[in-house]
Amino acid sequence: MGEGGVTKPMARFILLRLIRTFVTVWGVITAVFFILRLSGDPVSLLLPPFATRAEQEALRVQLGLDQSIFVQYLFFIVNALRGDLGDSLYRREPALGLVLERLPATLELALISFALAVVVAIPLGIVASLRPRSLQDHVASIITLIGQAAPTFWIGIMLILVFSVTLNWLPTSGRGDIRQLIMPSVTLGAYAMASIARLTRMSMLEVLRNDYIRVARAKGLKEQAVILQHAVKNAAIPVITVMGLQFGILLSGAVVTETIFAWPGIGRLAIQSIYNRDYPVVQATVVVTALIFVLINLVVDLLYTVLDPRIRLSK
Amino acid sequence: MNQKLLLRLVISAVVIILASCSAPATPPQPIQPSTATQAIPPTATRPAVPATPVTDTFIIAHAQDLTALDPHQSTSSADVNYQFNVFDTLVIRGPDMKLQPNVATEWKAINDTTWQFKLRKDVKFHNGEPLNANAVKFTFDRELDPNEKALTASAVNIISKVDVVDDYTVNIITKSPDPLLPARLAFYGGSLIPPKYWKEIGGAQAFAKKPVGSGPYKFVEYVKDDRLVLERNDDYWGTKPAWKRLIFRPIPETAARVAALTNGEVDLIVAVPPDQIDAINNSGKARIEGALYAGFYAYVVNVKVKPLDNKFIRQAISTAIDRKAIVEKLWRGRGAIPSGAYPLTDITGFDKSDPPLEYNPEKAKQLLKQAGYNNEEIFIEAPTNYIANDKPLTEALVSMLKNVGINAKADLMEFSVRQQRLRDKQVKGMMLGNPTSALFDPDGMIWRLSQPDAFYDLGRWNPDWDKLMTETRAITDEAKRNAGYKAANKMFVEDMPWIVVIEPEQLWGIGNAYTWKARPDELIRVVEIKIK
Repeated sequence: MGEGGVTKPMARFILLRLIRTFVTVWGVITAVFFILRLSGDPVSLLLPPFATRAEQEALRVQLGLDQSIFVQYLFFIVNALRGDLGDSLYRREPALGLVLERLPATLELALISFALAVVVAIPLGIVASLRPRSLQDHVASIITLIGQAAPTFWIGIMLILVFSVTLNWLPTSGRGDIRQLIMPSVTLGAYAMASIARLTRMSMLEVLRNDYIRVARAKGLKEQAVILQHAVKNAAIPVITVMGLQFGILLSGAVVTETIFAWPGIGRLAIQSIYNRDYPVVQATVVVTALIFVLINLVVDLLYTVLDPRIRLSK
Repeated sequence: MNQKLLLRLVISAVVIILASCSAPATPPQPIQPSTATQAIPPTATRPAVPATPVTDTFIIAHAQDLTALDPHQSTSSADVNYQFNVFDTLVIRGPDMKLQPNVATEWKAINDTTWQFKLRKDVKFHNGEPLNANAVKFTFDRELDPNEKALTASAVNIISKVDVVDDYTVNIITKSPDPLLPARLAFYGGSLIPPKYWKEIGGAQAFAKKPVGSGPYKFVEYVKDDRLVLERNDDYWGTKPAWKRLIFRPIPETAARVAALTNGEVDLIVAVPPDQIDAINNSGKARIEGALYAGFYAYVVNVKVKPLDNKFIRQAISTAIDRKAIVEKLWRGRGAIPSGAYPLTDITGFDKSDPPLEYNPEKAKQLLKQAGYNNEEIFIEAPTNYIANDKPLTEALVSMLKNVGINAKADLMEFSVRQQRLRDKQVKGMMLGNPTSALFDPDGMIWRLSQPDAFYDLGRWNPDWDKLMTETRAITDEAKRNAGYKAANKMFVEDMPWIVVIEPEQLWGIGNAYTWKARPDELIRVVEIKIK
């Protein structure tokens, strides 16, 4: 990859990506806008139960919910283009601010979980791949099977039972102390860990069958060098794709994990807002999440080119 | 790539939306909802752990976070508990639910529509500002000002105006005669706010960031979804609380909330579902405190759809329900069987001599025959993950109705969908609700919720009932009022417009180091909690 030739296609690539991002986010937000309004009613959730229908109507007018859905949509799009995603129906403050306030908590949890998952998964996958069907492979496959099969909420509650209730080592919930980070990140990272480990194993097995590995061994290279320098690097491409995907899944998994561990992030905000039909907050959450997804995909695509110069950025 | 990306995004959006159908979360409600999902097994086999050491901080875990620090902008349970620890009201209910003086030392009706309140002279807001007649007037003027859009306005909208008589006397004038005004002022909507501070800081938005009341605790800090920190008001005029700090923490997941209590991380938890009673009582660290709900769980019938427009069908449904089994099995004995339209906790209206609602399957079958029931489908509708046992109760009911030959069908939904169905009067059969009121008078619950245009009004069933209720609510004389309501209850039981099922106990878990009596109005006033 020549240094001079990279900049221009790269710039074009990123520009194209930005346009696509815009279209994608618009599509997603439009879908969410209409799906959210298919059912449920924020007004009767906001007011006390004995509020009369007249009082409900008054609030509906005040919140602009009396307009037809298309008029509401038009207003939403026009305001969104100006960077205004509306005010929370409950908190009466900008929805985007509410989401951004909670973003650090979610990113902190997601990044730690992700790091934890990768640090465990890659060595586990490599070790498993070196001797297929051996004891170490079986142990690894049992661990990954549990990680993939056990539902997040179950893992979370079991961890609370063991480490908080029985052993009394860790606090059950909340955020602030580093000890409060341990159980949520294990819970959230378990699935990603399992997926990445399984894929690493598979990818390694495939690579190890290749002729160049045989050649490397025949050359008399040390096994360690064969594995680490030749095999792992080539096995990494599908793994990185999945890691990118997994990070996205982590963000959606945060919904459950944050609820169990009372973690003040956007997952919990999203779920609460969906329940309350706090439309602007759900919409702002979706916009922010969508942008993060797009960003991750961009990073993954750029990483490809670094790992495998044969991959071009053009299409 | 683009298509794949779009797919990923749509999937993630859909996942977020779908999560709403399965994940246990809790909408803000006047009543604590409970999300009974994962039961923590009883820990009886574990050796008893020593009681939580008493510290200078008391921590309460609610199922939800606060939604508003402005005391007039929320009626959710966590917010109401915050309001009653930071703000004062004119009148307050004691642990026995009797009205007691608070900021007002005495009150009397000086004519049909005027209540006069005399105020204490030693009450100061946390900023030093005196709580006087002017502050009372300012509070209700603000709450009823349409521009302020106060959510609690509907609790006090019977007030037409407030007159300052002198510095420590106010007259509150009502739009129509209202014997219940002092009771209304003892619940949400009654929180008094400081006029001078309000103006200095620049109104509602700024006030909500740094609220100032006159109650036993002062606001310190609020971190959304994480904690509310309050500090004892050492200048408080009344009983001072035992703890220097009071913290509210939201823990949405039931199992995690219970674990936090038995673990000693928090001192008091709300919304304990009945299946967690043993886990808490056997923990050796905490116990259950319960209080009968100031309302009941009832199915509000759409009296306009066939065959439910026939009162004999409604009577048959009510008679087919084995309420005793429901209390015993679903609520572990923690609940009572109502006798009609008023909860057992009501101070006015409820008559102890009325028999509990009848269970008699043979009679139910007969009533069905008499009504000419032709196996029409009857929908039993309920929200899920909203109140304790909402789903099991509905399923139990369906099978009890099937036992007498009713073609009943459960229809379960998300809470906000239920709200929409009620609003649009789209209830197909009968809808589960948990009507309640802190007024302890039939006017507070059954009439306010079922009167024409009210939220549970699914069509009128008997003009005589409407007339009798309207007349009785304006009667000030206690005996006459009771007589009116007694007659109305007879009509209600005959017509069965709501299928009333159970008056459950609401359950809290509290550390063993403390004594506390749970209140039917569900308030947690920390001044009432004592260290053993």
